Order: sequence, then C-alpha cells, then structure tokens
Amino acid sequence: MFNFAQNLINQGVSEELVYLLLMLPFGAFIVSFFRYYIGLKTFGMYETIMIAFAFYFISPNFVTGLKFGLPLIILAWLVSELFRRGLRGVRLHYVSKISLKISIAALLMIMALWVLSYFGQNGYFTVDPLPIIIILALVESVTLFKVKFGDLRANLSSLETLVVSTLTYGVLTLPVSKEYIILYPYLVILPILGSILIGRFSGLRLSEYIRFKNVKRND
Amino acid sequence: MTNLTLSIRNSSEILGINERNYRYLRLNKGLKSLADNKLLTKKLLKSNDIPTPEVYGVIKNRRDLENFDFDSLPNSFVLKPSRGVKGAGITIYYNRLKDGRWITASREKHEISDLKTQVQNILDGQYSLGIRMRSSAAIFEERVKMHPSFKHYSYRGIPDIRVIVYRKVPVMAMLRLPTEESGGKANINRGALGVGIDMARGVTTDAIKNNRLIESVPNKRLALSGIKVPYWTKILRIAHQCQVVSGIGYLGVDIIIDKEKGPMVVELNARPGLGIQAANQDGLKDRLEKVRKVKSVTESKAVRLTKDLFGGEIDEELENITGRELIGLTEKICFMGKNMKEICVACKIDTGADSSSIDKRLAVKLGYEDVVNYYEKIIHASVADKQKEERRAYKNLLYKHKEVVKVTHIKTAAGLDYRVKIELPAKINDKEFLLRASISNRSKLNYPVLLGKNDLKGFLIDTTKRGSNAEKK
Repeated sequence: MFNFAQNLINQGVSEELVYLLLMLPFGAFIVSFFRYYIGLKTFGMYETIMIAFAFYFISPNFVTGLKFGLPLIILAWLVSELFRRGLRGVRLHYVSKISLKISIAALLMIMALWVLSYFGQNGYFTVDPLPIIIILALVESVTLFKVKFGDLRANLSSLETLVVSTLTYGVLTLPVSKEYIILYPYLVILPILGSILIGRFSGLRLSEYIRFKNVKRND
Repeated sequence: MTNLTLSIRNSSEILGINERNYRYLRLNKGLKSLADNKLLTKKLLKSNDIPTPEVYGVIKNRRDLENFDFDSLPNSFVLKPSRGVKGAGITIYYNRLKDGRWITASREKHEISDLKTQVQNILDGQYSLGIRMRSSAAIFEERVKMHPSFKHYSYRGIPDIRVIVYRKVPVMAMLRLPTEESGGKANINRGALGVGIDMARGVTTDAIKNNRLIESVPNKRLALSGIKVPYWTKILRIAHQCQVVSGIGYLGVDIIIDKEKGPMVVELNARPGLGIQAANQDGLKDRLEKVRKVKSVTESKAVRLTKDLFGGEIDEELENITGRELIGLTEKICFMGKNMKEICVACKIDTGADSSSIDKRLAVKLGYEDVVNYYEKIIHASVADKQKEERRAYKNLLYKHKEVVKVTHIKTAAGLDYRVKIELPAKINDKEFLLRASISNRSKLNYPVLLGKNDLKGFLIDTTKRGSNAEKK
C-alpha cells in the first residue's frame, strides 16, 4: 500500500510534523475514551491535548518531559489556587483577575529560572518557550473550573486532566508508536473508528459504577 | 469485589451520563437555550400562569447597569445570572441596613458598588454555561421565604424540589436541602443534601450527602426520612405543566415552596443531573422505560400515573389496607331474610371473641325457624352430665339438619353445652359477606348480633369511629 507518511517525509516535510499530525487522532481518542468509559472529566479536549503535546515539545523523552513539565504544571496550579484565595476579598473584574494571575505566574517563572541558574541547573534554558507559555496560561482553565464547579470538582478535574495528558504524552513518546505510525500510517483509521464506537456508547462509565454502587434494588 | 458485582447487577436500572446524553437529551435539542436562559423561562412560565418568583429588575448590559436604580430594590432579593450553571453566581440578600448596605446569606455587607461589581461579573459571563465565556444578564428576583416544614432541615438557603419529567409524567423527585458545606445553596454537587421522595405520597425516603447515604441532618438529630413535602400533588401538576409549555422532552423542574405563595418554579433544567438516583436509591432507567409508551396525558392523568407507577413499598401496604371496609365498634348489620325481606339491626364488634353469634329470635324472624326448633328439641337440657358416647350421638344428630354448618360445644356456668352455627348472608355498609353465627339467646343483651374475629377478616376497626345509629333492639 502507498505509504503517504513516508512519501511526505521523503519530499522534505519534517518527520516530527507528520508524526504528530498522525498521533493527534490517537490523543483525541484517549481523551474521549477516558471521558466516556472511565468517566475522567478533564478540562476539555483542548487543554488535555495541549498539555500532552507541550510535554512532548519540552522533551520527546518521557522522563525528561515530566521532569521539566510537572513543576511547570504545579506552578500554574498553585498560582491559580493561592491567588484565588488571596484575591477573594479584592473586588476586581473577572478577566482582570485572570490577567493578574497569569502575570504573577510569568514573574514567578522568571524568578524560578533565576534561582535555577544560580544553582547551575541550566536544563530549563534549553526548553522550547512555547510549551512553557501554554502551560502557564492554563491558570485560566483552572480558575474557570473553580468558579463554575466548585473547588472539589476543579481540583479533581486538574488531577484527572494531568493523568490523561500524561498518559497521552506517554503514548506519544513510545518508540513503537513512532516506528509503526510512520511505517503503517493507515493505522490512523483505528482511533477514528474508535471514536465512532465511543460516540455510540450508552453504558455506565466506570466512575458511575463506583458512584452508584450503594444504590440497592428497590423491588 | 462484591460491591462491583452488585453494582453491575444494578447497572441495568441506573441511568448513566452517556445514556442520558445519547438518548434523552436529544429530545431537548433547540430548547436548551430556553432552559438555560432564566429570563426566557420566566416569561414563558408567567404567560402560562405557572407560579414563579417575581422579577424586580434585569440588567442586560453596561448601559443598563449605569442607568439602574439600585435604591429601587427591596430590602431582600436574590441576584442571579440569567445563564447560570449549578447555582454559581447566585447571591442572596437578606436585609438592608440603615447605612444602605445589604446583608448577604454569608453575612457579608455589600454596598451598591459591590452589587455593581457582582453584576459586572455576571455580565462578563463568569458564571455562564460552557467553557467559553458568554455574557449573561443579571436578574434581581424575589427572595422566596422558607416554608416552615423545612425550617429545621435547611442551612440558611431555601431547599428546593427537583422533579424529573418525561413524557409529561413526573418520574422521580428529590428534595435538596442546603448545608453549611454547600454555602446555603441547594446544589448536591456542592455538598447539599439530596433526599429522595416517594412519588405517591410526597414523603421523603433515603438521603445522600456527597453521594453517601446518610440518615439525619448533619450535626442534628433530625431524621431525613418521613418529611412530608407540602403541596405534593400541586407540585406534580406544576411539573407536568412545565413540560407541556416548554416542550423540553427530558426535563428537570426546580420548585421552591414559599411560606405564603406555595410552590413556585425557579428553574427549568434541560440536563438534570443523575445524583437523584442515589438519593432515591432507585434507577431512572426503569422508570423512564415505564412511561416511554405513554402518549398524551392530561394533567390529572399524569399525576395519577406518577402516583401509581412510582409510589414506594409502603404505599402498596396502604393499598392492601384500603381495600378493607373501615368500621367502628358498633355497626349496623343487615340480613336478607328467606322471605326476601331485609332486616337491619345493631351489632357489636368484639375482637375478643372468636366466633359470632346471633339472637335466636332474630334468626327466627329471618326464616331460620326450622333449625332453631330442631336445635331446641334436641338440646333441651344440659348435656354436661352425659357420657362421652351419648354426647357424640347428640352432635351427630345436630349435624343431620342441612342448615347446621358447625356444632361446637362451649363451657358455660351451667356446664357443657352445644351450639349450632348457621350461615346467613349479611351486609355492613356496602360490604357483603357470609356470616357464620351460632344461635344463642341474646334477649338479655344489648345487641342481637355479635361479630367475632372469624367474621372480621374483611374489615379494619377504628375504635374512634361512631357506630351507625341503628336501634339496638
């Protein structure tokens, strides 16, 4: 069969671009699978995939990516959390508050870089700037969720988003993924079929089995 | 592991989010915006005469905000976004102080400038539905006053009643009681109590908090089961009406009960949550399936269907009881005589006696003269001193008469005696039955007929009920 992926690469398209484009359906599939079968409520498709790909841009090596990515995530989350509490009494417009938080996150990041360089940890200097910006801007999603669904739900969602995106990131970094998807690019049909299947699933989610496990039969 | 297998067994009855969205929410296509927009909802309800809290003012944009006269607001009101989600962005103002500030449910003091900020946040879409911000109007609404039935159960806020309606039939309901944890909001996702309601009687059954079963109000010794929801039938009617006028196929109606005005609709919900199943300890799936084939129902039929289909176990017990005739300690009993003449007399209900008895003169009047004479001819004296064999012979002789259904021997002051029992059709109120009574001389007693336990099977006895005034003798 005609290998369009290899053909594109031969014509000079970057292998990375072809690979990531082909992996995007897989990422989306994972997110929807976790939502409808497992019941993990992430912040949304966009945020979850963004984190996974941001990790990937930090480093295609799983361990390195997490090593630099996780502290960033935690920073964004902490800023969102602490300043939500701190700014609770201050009456500011909603968007202004978010803008304030993002600024604080950015400044803290600069401070962190400064401290890190002081201790000779220069790893961060080689990191692509875009994933850092993406992750810090997550402050908004966290805030939005907190306002809408309350602390508990938002914190759970933060955790669940992290779990799902780490998993997606894990799949992205698997050597087999890269090998097979370039070799057999038609594999991309699988997540597409899978998405259709998920879309028609009307059974209980795993989380609902747990949620309703106490419901006894009333007959 | 047993838990999981148990839950899988139950899973056929539980409605999950997937199925709700896939199968039921598609009925609401194009109508979600109606439910999400409280102003539109209110307009619709008002024009159909469905009670809903009064609106004092609406701010749709910045210009409205600048022109709005905050001093025109009453002392007590609720400020909420028109496109709110899960109770977010709702502030309750209890009273206005002399310095012009209002007191909120969480005991904060708000000036007009604070109110303006809150309105601004609502306009910015901070609390609106969906991930992307959408601007929303701010509504000032009447603050509903707590009905005394719920006073001790609720923390600060007003409890509401969520009713799920499908095919115009209310299928499940839950009382939501605000707690300290939920910040006075009736939202079970924020820690409010969800209390299941028996659809037939409007009485609470099981309760959950944060998805766990609980028995009583937190920090109080108040049982959560057995609370009677006032205006229950009216609530069911309103829920039905809401679906009729809104056309939302799978609808959650939120009803609040005002101390003076009774039930009022506060919100229509086009994607009602599923926690109601845990609160009721029952799945929605079966219930929805039961009404799936229901075509068009009128209001009263909807209420009847709800009560018949979704009433709980206790109600079935009541059903058994209500099939019986309620009688007092004395009643009028009517006999159809052999000459087809009806004779009515007073009778005494005696649950201390096993069998019933009838005065022999009454039996004669009813046409049982033959058996009475036959009996008296044989039993002319006490049989107490007779031998065993002789007594048996008496008994057999008595049985020879075709109207004697039983011969019993009884101990009396005079010694052993025989009584014969006859069967005769009788009627109390409208209930007909076959009375099996022994013939005896009751001429010295107040009542010619006494009903014992054996003949009281179809009756319930209310000791406070006044007997009917049939003459005693």
